[in-house]
Amino acid sequence: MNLKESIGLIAVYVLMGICMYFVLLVLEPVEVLGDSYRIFFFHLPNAVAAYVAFTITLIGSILYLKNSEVKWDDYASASAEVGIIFTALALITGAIFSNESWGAYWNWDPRQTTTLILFFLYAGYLSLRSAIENEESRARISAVLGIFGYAGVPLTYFSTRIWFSLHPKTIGLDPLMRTIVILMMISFFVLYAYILLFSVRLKRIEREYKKLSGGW
Amino acid sequence: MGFSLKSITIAKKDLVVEFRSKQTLNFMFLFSLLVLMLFSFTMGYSGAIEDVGAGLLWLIFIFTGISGMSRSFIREEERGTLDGIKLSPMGMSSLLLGKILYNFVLIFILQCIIFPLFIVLLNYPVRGDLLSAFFILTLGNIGFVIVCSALSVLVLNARARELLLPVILLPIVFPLLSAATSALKGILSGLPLSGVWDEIVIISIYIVIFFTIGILTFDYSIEG
Repeated sequence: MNLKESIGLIAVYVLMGICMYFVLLVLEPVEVLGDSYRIFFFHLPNAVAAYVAFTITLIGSILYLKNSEVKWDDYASASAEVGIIFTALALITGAIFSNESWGAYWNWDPRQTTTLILFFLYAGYLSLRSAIENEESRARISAVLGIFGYAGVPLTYFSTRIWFSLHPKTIGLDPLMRTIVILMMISFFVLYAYILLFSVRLKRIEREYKKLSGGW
Repeated sequence: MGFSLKSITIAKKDLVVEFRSKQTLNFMFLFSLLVLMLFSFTMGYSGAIEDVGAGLLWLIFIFTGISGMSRSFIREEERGTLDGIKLSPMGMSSLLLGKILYNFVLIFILQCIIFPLFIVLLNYPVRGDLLSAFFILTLGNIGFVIVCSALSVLVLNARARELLLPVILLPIVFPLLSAATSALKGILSGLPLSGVWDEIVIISIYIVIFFTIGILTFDYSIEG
């Protein structure tokens, strides 16, 4: 682990620790939702981090097609891997919160649906990657799919919004809550960046090792 | 030869090959008829057909399309003719456009047969204009054919490509399926075309976006 990563890891622990202290111990229960709203402070930053991760996959894919530099493919694939975990967590926390506030775990609400489709999109992306042997064509083909997949996301949102929507457009938060949400978002971004850089370094080492050992 | 003329040549070549054996078309027709029969048997008398019918019809097109249209590139690869096309003085984007045209002809023929059969076999209580419904079907199928043709190239070099294609295609088709189902349901229940304007806009944007991305990235997907 190098210095940059160690600083990142410490920052994640400190930031998340402070946020958790505020979310779980300082904030008072609110009307109607009671204590259940505390999961929101994990759910929203989680979902936003997932969307950011897939945006990085898109940028990595475009840059790979432009320059054919293998490091961009590493960024794209590592970001998709992290993104899919964040998406799964966002779906789970979302479903729990949704059951408390809307009365059912699953509602086909546009944002819920879009997040689920994102999950499937990048699960497909990763299975395509695992099915192509040749490294160069794997990077190129999955970059194309990375671009295709991302383009469908806004359309998924708008096409399901025709049916109906339950998500609040704006959320009434007091200043303390807003600060905590922002702090939580920052800590999720740092966590994301930490895992991303770590995973990219791992991929690079793996490739160098393969080269040295003659493919074994 | 211009861009569009070249692609028409490709489409014509594929249609000639296809109509010699009618292998893909026969398969697509039989498969969709089978699925339709199964839907009719399992759900035809449930009374909920007005709610689920439009979705079922789209699913028939999507499943038949995936297995039928993916053949257009796989066939070239199996016969070793893809390299020949790559060597010919023809832009790669006209190859994609040609395949889109060819696949569209296939699914349009299918649509002309399956849509009437769907209404008859499922006892669908049509209250709207059938011509508008046919228009929505065609519009939706254009979008589907574009994405299916562009993505079927990606799995050419992959293991288990026939299994992989639906996995990467279905999430991308989702917005189209969602908008087209809502539009078809609306039209069949008696809404005019202007009543499903939002859906038509979404489908049209979908077509434009994915056609553009398909053409722009096709050089990269076919290379190597």
